[in-house]
Amino acid sequence: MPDPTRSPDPTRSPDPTRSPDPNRLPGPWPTLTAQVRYQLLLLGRNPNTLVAGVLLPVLLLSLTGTHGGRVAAAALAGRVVLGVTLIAYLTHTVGLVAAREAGVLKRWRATPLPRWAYLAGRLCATVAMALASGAVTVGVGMVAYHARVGPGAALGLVVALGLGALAWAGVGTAVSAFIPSAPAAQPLLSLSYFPVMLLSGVLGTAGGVPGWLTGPMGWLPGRPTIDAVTHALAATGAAPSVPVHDLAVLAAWAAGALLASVHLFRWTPAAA
Amino acid sequence: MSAVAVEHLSRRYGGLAALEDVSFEVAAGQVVALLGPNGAGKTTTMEILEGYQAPSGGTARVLGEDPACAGRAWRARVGLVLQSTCLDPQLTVVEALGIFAGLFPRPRPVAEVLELIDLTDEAGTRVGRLSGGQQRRVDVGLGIVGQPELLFLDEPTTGLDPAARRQAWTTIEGLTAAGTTVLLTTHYLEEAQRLADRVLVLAHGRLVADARPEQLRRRGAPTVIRVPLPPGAPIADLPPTLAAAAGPDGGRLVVRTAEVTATLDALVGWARRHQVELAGLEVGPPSLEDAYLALLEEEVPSHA
Repeated sequence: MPDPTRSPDPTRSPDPTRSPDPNRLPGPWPTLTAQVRYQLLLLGRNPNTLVAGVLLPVLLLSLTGTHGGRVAAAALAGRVVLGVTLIAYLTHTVGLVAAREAGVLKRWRATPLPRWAYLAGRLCATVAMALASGAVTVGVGMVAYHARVGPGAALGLVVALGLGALAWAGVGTAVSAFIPSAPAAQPLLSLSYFPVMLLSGVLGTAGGVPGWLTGPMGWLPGRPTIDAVTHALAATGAAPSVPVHDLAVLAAWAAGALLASVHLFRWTPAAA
Repeated sequence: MSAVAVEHLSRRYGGLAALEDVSFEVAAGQVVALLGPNGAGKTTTMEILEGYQAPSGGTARVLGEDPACAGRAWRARVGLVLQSTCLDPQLTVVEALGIFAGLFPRPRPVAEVLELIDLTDEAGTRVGRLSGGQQRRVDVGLGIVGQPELLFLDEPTTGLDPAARRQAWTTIEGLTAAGTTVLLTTHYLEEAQRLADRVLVLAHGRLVADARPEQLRRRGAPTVIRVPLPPGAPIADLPPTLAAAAGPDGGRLVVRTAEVTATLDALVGWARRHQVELAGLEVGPPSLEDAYLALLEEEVPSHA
């Protein structure tokens, strides 16, 4: 039991005015890589990642019509984009809201972790996991459904899926600021996700879509992601062409959403 | 310079004053307990000092800086354990500690933290599979892994069993012996009595006491007589002044009195008449809890 009459011993008490050398704080690169590893651990152990990113797209691929046992590039692109965007938008954002409302982010806020490192770590891990999901679905499409994937497809796929995942994850991060509680996250996000993706043709051409909607769909991040992936899958490698419009739309969404995310992101629960 | 210096601090939520004109200092190396009933303003005070909230008035300086706008270097010097447990359930204990340790310039070795929180055997277990008390200990581990100069502990032992609570006290005593300044809130008066050099009592957002535990105990509070009553003791025949103080189950008699001799005389007389053995009789100054409750009765009549 401490002696209640003791006064602090200056020889063992730290000088409260002393600041540690700021250079001794971990630098940006180790901080970022540690955050990416941490977020990958969380995503890898989240069953939603496997279900939404791999099982659901592969299941839907198995239910897709084929021509001579071969799945069409557009259909494969739709299933790939479904898995990628489910991870980038729904899994990422639901997890972010849950962490914030449970106080996990509040705890991070008390550490020397910079805000940019948390956001960048989370987004990088989400994009990496989304790319892995896309690779699995493309692989299953090639092996099990004889999908034709051109020799020059890899780079185009990485760019299209990476940019699409970043755009969707950025939008999710920004939107998370307006979600008031963890239970509200899934329904609110589903409400904003499924109409856009279904009207964009993620499960095939949406029949009966009003004409006034088809134009705007090209400017939301769903349709351009699918089109850019379809374009990449069909690439022959001989004369690579770039889907400029689709990638530009995705880049604009990614940049705008990231700016909004940085501005809107908050560490503490809504009630705090 | 003080580790914590608070002057005329106030915080309002709309028309509600959560804190009003609160001033105190915490010297480097001290352990100070912030006490008060629910809603007294303890958590608001802690959150202002931790940088989560800005005050409506007054100033707060923590390690020489305004916590509302302090940067990374400041946060590397401060550790905290929040009121509620907030951990990623998917991580193992050692992963969680390792990730946090990587953020600080001079982290405590993870193995040492595991020993301090007595979770070495559970190092590879996912946090979500630990008991509530074990998760709380992980929380404490995350608070100390950065070797903070100043540690905020918001009800750190809530949910711990008595053995784990004592283990946590030993851990905190070890930190304070190494010079760490600690500001803690607790509802366990025994905890404050054991750990704290000073106690601050808040009621209705105002600071109503700032004293050493002994000073608070002796602050005009009456002497306390405690005696366990044997089963079947005829409490109906207790003298009226004593009967009113008997516990609801008749199992324990606690009397606060300024007239010690007369009260003891009445008690012993009753025991002789009914051949009741007063084994376990204690006469002494009030405990910190007695003094705290008496203080609240003065300051917050509805608390009586």
